[in-house]
Amino acid sequence: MSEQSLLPRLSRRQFLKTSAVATALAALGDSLLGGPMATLTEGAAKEAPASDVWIPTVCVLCDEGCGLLAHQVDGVVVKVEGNPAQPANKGRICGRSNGWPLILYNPYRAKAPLKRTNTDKGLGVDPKWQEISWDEAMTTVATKVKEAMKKDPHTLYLHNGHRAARSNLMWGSFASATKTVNKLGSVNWCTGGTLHTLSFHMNGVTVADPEMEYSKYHIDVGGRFLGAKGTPFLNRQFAEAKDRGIKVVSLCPIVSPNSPNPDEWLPIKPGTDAAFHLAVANVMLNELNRYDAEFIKWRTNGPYLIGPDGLYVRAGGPKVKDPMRLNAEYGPPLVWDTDAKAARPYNDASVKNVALEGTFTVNGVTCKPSFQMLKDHVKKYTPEMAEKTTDIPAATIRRIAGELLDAAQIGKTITIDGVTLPYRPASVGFSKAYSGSRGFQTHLSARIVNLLLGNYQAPGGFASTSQPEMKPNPADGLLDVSKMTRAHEFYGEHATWPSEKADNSSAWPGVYNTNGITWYAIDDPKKYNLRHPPAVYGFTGANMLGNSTNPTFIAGVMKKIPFIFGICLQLDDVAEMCDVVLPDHSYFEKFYLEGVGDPHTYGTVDFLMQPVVPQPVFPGTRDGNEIVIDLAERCGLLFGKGGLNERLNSSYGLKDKLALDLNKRYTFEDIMDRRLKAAHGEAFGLEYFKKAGYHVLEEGGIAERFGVAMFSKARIPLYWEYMVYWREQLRKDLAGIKAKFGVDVRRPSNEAALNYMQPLPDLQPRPEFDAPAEFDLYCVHYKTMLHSMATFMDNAWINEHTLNNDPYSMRVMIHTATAAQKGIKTGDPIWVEGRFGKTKGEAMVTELTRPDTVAIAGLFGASSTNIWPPAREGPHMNYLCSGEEEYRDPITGNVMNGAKVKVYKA
Amino acid sequence: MTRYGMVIDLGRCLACGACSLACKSENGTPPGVLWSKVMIRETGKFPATRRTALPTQCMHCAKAPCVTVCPTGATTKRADGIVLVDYAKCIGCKLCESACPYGARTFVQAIKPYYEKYGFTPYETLMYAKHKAGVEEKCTFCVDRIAQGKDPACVTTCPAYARTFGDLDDPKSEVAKLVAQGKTYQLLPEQGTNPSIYYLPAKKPTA
Repeated sequence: MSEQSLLPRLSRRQFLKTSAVATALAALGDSLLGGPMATLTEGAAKEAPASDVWIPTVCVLCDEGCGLLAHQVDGVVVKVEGNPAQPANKGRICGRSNGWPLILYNPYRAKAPLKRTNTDKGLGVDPKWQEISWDEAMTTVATKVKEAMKKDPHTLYLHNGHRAARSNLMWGSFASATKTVNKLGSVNWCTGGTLHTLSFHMNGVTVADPEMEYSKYHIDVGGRFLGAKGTPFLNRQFAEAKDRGIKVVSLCPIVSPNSPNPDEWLPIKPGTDAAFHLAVANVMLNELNRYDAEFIKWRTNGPYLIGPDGLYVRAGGPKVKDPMRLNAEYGPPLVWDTDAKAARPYNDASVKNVALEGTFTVNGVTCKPSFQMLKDHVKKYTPEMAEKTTDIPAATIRRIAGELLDAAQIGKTITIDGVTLPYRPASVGFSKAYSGSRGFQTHLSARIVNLLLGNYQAPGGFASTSQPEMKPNPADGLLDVSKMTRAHEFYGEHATWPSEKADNSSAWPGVYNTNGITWYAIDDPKKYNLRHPPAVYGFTGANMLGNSTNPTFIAGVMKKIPFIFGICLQLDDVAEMCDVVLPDHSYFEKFYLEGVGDPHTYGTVDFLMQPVVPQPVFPGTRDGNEIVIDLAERCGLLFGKGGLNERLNSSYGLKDKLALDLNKRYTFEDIMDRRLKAAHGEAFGLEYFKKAGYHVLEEGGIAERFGVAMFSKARIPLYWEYMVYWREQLRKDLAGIKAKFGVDVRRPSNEAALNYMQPLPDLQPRPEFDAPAEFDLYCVHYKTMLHSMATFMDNAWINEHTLNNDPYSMRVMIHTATAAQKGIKTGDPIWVEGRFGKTKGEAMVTELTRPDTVAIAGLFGASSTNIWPPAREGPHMNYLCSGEEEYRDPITGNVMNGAKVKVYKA
Repeated sequence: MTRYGMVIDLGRCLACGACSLACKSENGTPPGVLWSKVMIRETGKFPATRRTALPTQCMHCAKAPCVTVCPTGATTKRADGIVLVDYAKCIGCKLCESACPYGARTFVQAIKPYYEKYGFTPYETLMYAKHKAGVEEKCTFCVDRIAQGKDPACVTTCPAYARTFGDLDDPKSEVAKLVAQGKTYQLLPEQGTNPSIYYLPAKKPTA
């Protein structure tokens, strides 16, 4: 038949002789920057051997770490498929991963070292790049860094991007070697502040989420089921859950693309989720009197007695050091033994029955179990009150509470691989749903519903996504998280003033999302008592203008910084603020190591990211790691004590013959080889990984997966008593600073921040929605699977797919009735204007949103003048948001992610 | 006889677009040419409304109108049911495009680079050799992958395992079993085309 319709696969040389495209290629001039691409025409003259190979590597476009196989034909990557050996993605990949060829070959990449010739800087201002030599670029940057270090190392502001963009492993150690305190992380929009803090304390792990393999009922808050990433692992779990007949209730102001085909949509009013959660808790506790009492008694601090000061009532006698309270010594918290009718230490083995309810007098102090305090606390959240606040009918709230309890089947167990576990296949809310200016308390209110269901670390419940590693705190029996990576959150330091760090993070109980305040401090150094104004801002993998609130403001602040350099893959928004751009290899041209959790055993597998093309696509680029090593040497930071090499020996555990000589320069490839051998053994160096692609670092089983083996005795906070403790510590610190310097370090006031530090959560009014009446609509933001980060805007395939298939995501969703009132039709260009800025986009008139809510997906609307022009299209939510402290979560620093707006035709 | 076909489970489809992008990458289709699509729409009135997604491509119909109308014999149906276009014979008359009730065909106006300012990328240089301006194009069920014993690219990548490919005439195949369960449907049955792509319905919401 007509199989000849598909041209046979030709060898490269045959192809060049026959193809019409080759003629077109010959007509192409050099690319604007960086000289000609390493095209086939250029290579045709050489006798390169024909090749057709599949090379294992790993995807870093999000933090999932999917295994890939790159198909390289005659040196060109023609296809990327999933690596079936990877346990999480099992050979499947998402749309973004399928777009790899265009990322690699994107001719708008940074292709050669550049310096700006336009002294004017700003959003949408062309830097008028001039290509320079590597030596000139590196000399310029090194000179500026050295000058800054000589005067004051803290004037170096060094910014490392999100993990997904952070393939430049050397950068962090380089930043440490400079000794600056102003090391920034790219976590402005990140949900991390609440997500990680709550996951540490309640699941003993960095990220905990609803466990979907066994789930039967899930309330998907904010339409985040697929994590806004739609990774193969999440998609598979979702689809399998659907097959099993899971009920999914979507609690979201819009019908979200990340919560496909929900069984029920509850179009909640933006910013009121806490009222819904606390009303559900109230129905469980005060109407139905149904909850997992055994779990609350023995796995939480629910029975711990709380005194009038909000702190535990403790036993006298032998005291124990509390690692979470700067090692101060305490007696054990007391519980009420209902058999002995007396208070006993929580860890008294003779106690068989404890009170969860009642009021008691212990040593003359009136106290209640913390569970009783919760029960009293949520009474005000009647379903009727919640209906007025959330627009979800009271009857629905009552029904949902009952459905959750029925689905949770309290008391049931399941045996998996010989391990018997509580089986609670019902949960509320993915962790990533809770960001925003009051995200911490909203998230905590959902966590309380999950605690009442007893679903922690249970199949189908709320479980860690990697191996939990926690032990009980000897002082109170709760999870001791003081040894975890971000242990400084909630404990470990006193507020200091004036602060060395620009963001004054010591005055915050959580510091994960405070970095963004740095820009406000630079803008108004007097107000923030900025001690070390930046002399140099350097970054890698961090597009502060693409992923941050109020890009106009931040660009204005960046203009004030004397020297900016970046190790850049793309000439994106922030690259345009640079004085010097150092062009990076793409992820397909460099090495990186991705530790990936096996979602079924919770073992760990190391996957190697490696070059899948024989030479870099653009010869003027260099591996960012080599750039950093070179920079370190030029700045005198590579060798000797405290140098980069010593730091690498320490962080990678390089000892004996694997240890780096402190006075020798190594290639990054050599360093990777040593690192792999140190972690996996002599036989598993880089050569092994290049062929195999991965190696299992740690095996795990069901006991590890659900944490049984890891922290079965540690309790989970139902009542955040140490929030009270740390609130009082912070109160003293802030009062001391105010007495000495006359300033409130926190904004809008110390008192407002301290009042937010509650042991039990409330519905908190959102400052971003407290706007004048002219801003008559809510604007919410959502992510789509193909546009989860700014880096996908300029992928032409993804852009084309979106424009052709999805009429919503590059537009502003507006409800039919609201659009009619304002005379707006689908396709009309409209302005969405809030108090902090405005953004333009096409209207999409729809029934998929509340009448009082417009919605913008993201990220779109780049400002760069040198990016692929279609990436500049589409509305950009960030222009509507402020990153000032007043609009951040007072505990974690999470930024506002919604706004009140007015909408009108452009 | 073999009759290749596919079942797409709309209850599993999450509209993630992986199929569409995998098709792009596998087949290297030029700008403006999408063999595999995912139409995202909505039904109902607020609040009883939902977002719908319908992945579509060439249906490889048993009674393919495109084959019937083609004046040059460029569009043919293989014995295994796959409908293909012979670019050498196609004169670009677009009759097939009008005849296809599924909008599966695209006329290739010109083969241009995606990033026009910089010309063809090495990937495009290699892949566009399989395409030709002035002809009609559409999904081939990844005929060269099938020849190698692989599934089409959209099936292999689908993270939600929503797609099943196989021989509809083989009662032991997964696709035949799914169709035999009687829950599948074809698009536009009134057109009498008997498409080789079947759909399983998305679960209806209760509210």
